[in-house]
Amino acid sequence: MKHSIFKYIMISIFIIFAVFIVVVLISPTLYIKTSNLINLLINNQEITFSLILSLTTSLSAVFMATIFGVPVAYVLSRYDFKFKNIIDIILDIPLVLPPIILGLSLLVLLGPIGGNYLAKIGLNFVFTRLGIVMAQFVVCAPLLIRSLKIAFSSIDPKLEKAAMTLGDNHFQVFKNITIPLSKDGIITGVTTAWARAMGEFGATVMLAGATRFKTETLPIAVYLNMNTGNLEMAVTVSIVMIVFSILIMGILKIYNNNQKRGVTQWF
Amino acid sequence: MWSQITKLGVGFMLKKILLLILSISLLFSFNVKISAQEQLDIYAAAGLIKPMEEIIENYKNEFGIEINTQFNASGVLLNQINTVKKGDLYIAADKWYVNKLHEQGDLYSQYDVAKHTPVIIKNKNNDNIDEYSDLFLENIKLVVADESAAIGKVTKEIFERNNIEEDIKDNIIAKAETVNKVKMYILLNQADAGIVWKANYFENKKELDMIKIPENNNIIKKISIGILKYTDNEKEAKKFIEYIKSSKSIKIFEKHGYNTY
Repeated sequence: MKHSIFKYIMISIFIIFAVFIVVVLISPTLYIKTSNLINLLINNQEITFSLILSLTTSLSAVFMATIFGVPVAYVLSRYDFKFKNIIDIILDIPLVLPPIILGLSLLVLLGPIGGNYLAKIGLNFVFTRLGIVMAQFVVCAPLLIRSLKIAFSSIDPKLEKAAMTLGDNHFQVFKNITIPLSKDGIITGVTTAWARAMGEFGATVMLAGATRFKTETLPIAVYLNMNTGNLEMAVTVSIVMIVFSILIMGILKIYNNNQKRGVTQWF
Repeated sequence: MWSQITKLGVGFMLKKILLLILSISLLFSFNVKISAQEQLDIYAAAGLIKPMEEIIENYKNEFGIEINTQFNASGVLLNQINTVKKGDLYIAADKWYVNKLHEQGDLYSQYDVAKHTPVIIKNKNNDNIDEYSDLFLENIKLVVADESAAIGKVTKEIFERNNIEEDIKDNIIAKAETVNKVKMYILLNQADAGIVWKANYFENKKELDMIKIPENNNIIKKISIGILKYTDNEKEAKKFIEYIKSSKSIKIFEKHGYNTY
């Protein structure tokens, strides 16, 4: 008796929560006619512009995050050093800080403080697309590092040591053992970081501003159109982002499921 | 045995404390509900924050009424009002917005509070422009407000009226959501010039330089306040309008750099 009441409660709460999330995600579609939606998607230049801008900036940001993230995660998972705990915490802080605060810090650093020096070497972050990439980078890199750290840490160091006794140097071990074994973690981490970069809003608005047809990413397009009372546009862009998120998560899930099946076949 | 008894005792104490906290918070939430009648919801243009906060604070202290103010761009507020269909008063930085509500039949009464004059501002450490006509020089970096803010709308009108919209388009490096944000970017020296209301310059005249827009190029606007038809406290709203007409409030506007009627 007790056993099934417990099960009943758990499942009921699960159903309530799942239904709630589904309803929340479907709501925008109830606010616009399908014909208007399709029309806006095909013809509206603002949506096309923001989609392309979001894709190019977020992919650049994730690329940079990977270039920095892999070494950082590697060091954090493989080496021990003084103050490691403090540095660990500091590198995790951007994850819990509201993005708008990260954006403000970036604005102050790359604007009044460092702007002139950076401009001399041709780097302009305030109000530019480069600023979008920077804002997205600062927000998604810590996320990527955390996933990579877990992925690297889950590899048995004995495997790496064995490879070294057989003659591989550090780089070869990294290339042939560490990376392939942490492939799943890397792919999941990069995908999640990319999704986060696509959805980045607070830091981007602060550093790059919210200028139509210039620094207008998809989230900023929603914001600007809500500001001007253009509800149908805002809803359309929201639907684009929801569909994108479903696709990303779906592909990731299928990939992970396939990998699991693959592993059972190996062993 | 004693440890078990003290544990029980602590358990009871904790439960009593929790109950006490819960009942007090319930009482408080009740209080808020009861005094909903004695409350005004005001939509106010973001650029008017300095004088409005002072006037509202005085009103609250004198009459003991709760006032909720939403500060945002005039156009954004207008959309909000049309969407939520709630609120008592709306003060916009451009009479145009209040008139819009009037045309829709959503306004009870209206009053012109003060004049608004667009001016150019630049950071004291920036020497790239000296006068109005420098705005359309090459490589000048200009920040204006988005058209959903009253200052953004009048900026566009000024450019159109003077036929410089095309020339100046490439100089606009960013559009900010409110006039306060335009000012902020100039204070951070992230652009050579911005266009704000004269009163906004006045608030920061120590850090900013003002360049006048020539009279025959400029467009002066009226700050206007109206009572929304959605108000459920018309008497109080009328009282607030009388208060904002009073010489005490007019002096507050003038103190912050506004030209009144």
